[in-house]
Amino acid sequence: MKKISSILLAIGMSPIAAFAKGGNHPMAGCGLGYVLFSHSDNQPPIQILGATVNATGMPTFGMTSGTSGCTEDGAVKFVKEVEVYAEINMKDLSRDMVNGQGEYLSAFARLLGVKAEKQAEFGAFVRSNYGALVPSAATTSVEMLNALADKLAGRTDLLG
Amino acid sequence: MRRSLMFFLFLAPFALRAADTAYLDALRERARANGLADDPRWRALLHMKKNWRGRWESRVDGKAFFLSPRGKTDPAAELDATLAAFFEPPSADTDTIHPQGLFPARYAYLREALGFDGTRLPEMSSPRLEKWRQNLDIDGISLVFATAYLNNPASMFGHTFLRLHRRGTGADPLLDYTANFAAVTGETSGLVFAVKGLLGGYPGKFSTHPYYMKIQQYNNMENRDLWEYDLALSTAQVRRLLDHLWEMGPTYFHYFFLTENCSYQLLPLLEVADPALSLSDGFAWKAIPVDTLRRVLAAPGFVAARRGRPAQLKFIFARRDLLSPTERRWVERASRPGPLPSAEGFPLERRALLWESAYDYYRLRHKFRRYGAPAQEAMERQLLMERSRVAAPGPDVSSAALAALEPPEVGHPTGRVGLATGRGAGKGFEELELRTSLHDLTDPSPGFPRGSRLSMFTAKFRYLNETRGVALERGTLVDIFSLTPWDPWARSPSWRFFMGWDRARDRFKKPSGGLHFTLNGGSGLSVKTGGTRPAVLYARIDADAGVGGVFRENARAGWGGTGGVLWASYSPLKISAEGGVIRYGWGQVDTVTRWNLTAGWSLSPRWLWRTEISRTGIYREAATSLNYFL
Repeated sequence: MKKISSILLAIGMSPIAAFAKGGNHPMAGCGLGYVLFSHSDNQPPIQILGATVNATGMPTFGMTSGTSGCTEDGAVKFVKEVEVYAEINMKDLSRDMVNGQGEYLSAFARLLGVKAEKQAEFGAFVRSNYGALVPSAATTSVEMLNALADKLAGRTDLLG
Repeated sequence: MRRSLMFFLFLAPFALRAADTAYLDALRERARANGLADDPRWRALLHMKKNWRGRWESRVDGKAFFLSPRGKTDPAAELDATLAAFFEPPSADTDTIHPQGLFPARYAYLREALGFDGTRLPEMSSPRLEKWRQNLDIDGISLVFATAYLNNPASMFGHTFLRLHRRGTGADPLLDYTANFAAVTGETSGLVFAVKGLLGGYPGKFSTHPYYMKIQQYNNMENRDLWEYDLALSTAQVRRLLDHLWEMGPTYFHYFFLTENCSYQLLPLLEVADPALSLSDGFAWKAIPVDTLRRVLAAPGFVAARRGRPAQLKFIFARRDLLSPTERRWVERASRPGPLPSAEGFPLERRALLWESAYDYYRLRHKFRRYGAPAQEAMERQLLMERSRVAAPGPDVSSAALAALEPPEVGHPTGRVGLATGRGAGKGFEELELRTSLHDLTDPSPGFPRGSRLSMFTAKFRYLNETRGVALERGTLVDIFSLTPWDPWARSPSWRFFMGWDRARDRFKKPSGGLHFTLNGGSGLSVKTGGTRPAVLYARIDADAGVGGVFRENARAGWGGTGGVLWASYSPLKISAEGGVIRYGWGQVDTVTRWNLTAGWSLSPRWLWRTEISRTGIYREAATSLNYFL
């Protein structure tokens, strides 16, 4: 896995960000919101994914292309990895963010391309900015990512 | 012969248009001369096993997996057809995958075994396969065991899947992938799933998911421990396994809960990766996940390392254990609705722990829901905000969470055979009991959930000395007993469920008669006593229904209560005592009291001596048995 800070760029420039700011469903770009994760649905994420088998072209794996726009042939698309990760792990990631450390935050930092030696600093950064990253109880994972991208624009020293 | 000729006539003009038919014939000839169709490696790629008639037959049920119409039962025909398919010209449609890319493990095997000449059989590019390989970028594999989850019939025996280690994820296992075999169904009723699953009523498929999804499901939502076993596989073997997994992705097997299940289907995959392994034979009638794990562990040098990943609840309890009584009261107040208490009175280094514990407890009470009602989300955010204002790390409890974890393979073998002798109402009898699975209250407990019984498909036969007759004494389809000592945070019930044939001794006060089909069970609470050798006391409300000719109107139904005690804290000896009363108000109206006292003494890891005395109505019985785990 190449470490790229351009993944943030991808989020910043993707239609998702535009939709989010324009007031549309924040997940519309990826299809996550409608297909994979109904917000009233508390099933394990696995089952939700399993239920979305809708093969187009030649099927390979259950998580297949064409349905959600987030996966192809059973793997989460590279540029969508941060979004899917944040959405599925939002509760545990939040807990680690306010702790400034933890397994969910460490993996998140790696996906974002945070330098290994800057992990602790990144932890302190998200902890102290938590209120700005998650400004309300209704903040979605994508809104949090957008806010993080904005904040990190001033802290490019953290990124490899 | 005629069919293969037909096949050739049909396919030849299309598949081999402009292809080198002479070279195809040469390759087929070479394959025949080398006996490749009988090579165990080729049969492994096709998942061929001897069927009940002693003939080779593939376990794969998806038609598209076979390129020859006879491929399911004829490895030679499949080999010929596979070679022909490799000569197909590439498709103009980029989404279509060439057979070389659809079957990369077959291609790699045949290329190596036959020495393909790249100029006469050009290698086709497969962009989707390449992209998949790059996206996953796997450099190692672990077998993962998810411990039993008694609240879901599909998971009572545990579960296994593969963790696919991605290059460069280092200390972040969450970013790895998994390969999982499961029945594909939208069925939400556990009972329907169990019944259809037994009969092969669902297709079973492989799927790949990020490891964090599996962790969310097992570790966090279902509170199950995970055990990871790193497999000693070379780079080439990992590549072969992944290639084969890709081949299996589009196809399916009939899913059989007992045999061709989630656990079993991983074994042929490992055999493809390392042809020197022999793992998948001998599971003809049952493949319990822990048995498949033991088979993998028994392969010399194959498991390189083992790691436990405790369930989320264990971390929560480990953090709670650090709290003083005052702090715990504060945490419990903080997680109740209403204005948050202030943590100012506590030293700074304790505040991180306090807010984390409050969040833990709040999440636990709301069943770890991923999307809560607005009030829940608001409360969680408040707790997180408070925590974020404390600029100090919380305590690391990972070693405490890991402390009580027991790897599943240390448990006793899953089958049990017992011979008993006893007396009922003054008359002697002998018994033979065959238990397919899995564990009982008085069996040795290491490796199993404490205070649990899980028995499926157990039959007990009784020989009466007086009449010299043999009869089924009890036929258990499912018998689950789950004692979880009450914890004010976790609030788990203790419960029991039995389905099968049993004896109504209250109807016939002698050691024969009374056979009927029954469903019974109930739910209640249990508490653990203090002291160094604690006992577990329990009480529950029961419902009971029976059907059979022994009853007036052929049936009875009623409800009542049961209380008991399990003393299992001294390792070789375990004692269980239980008494209850059921008031049958429907059908055969009656009130029946029952009690029994059972003691199990582990003579060795495999031998158990068991004694039971019981009373049903005025009928009394005592028996003692010698049991062997196998």
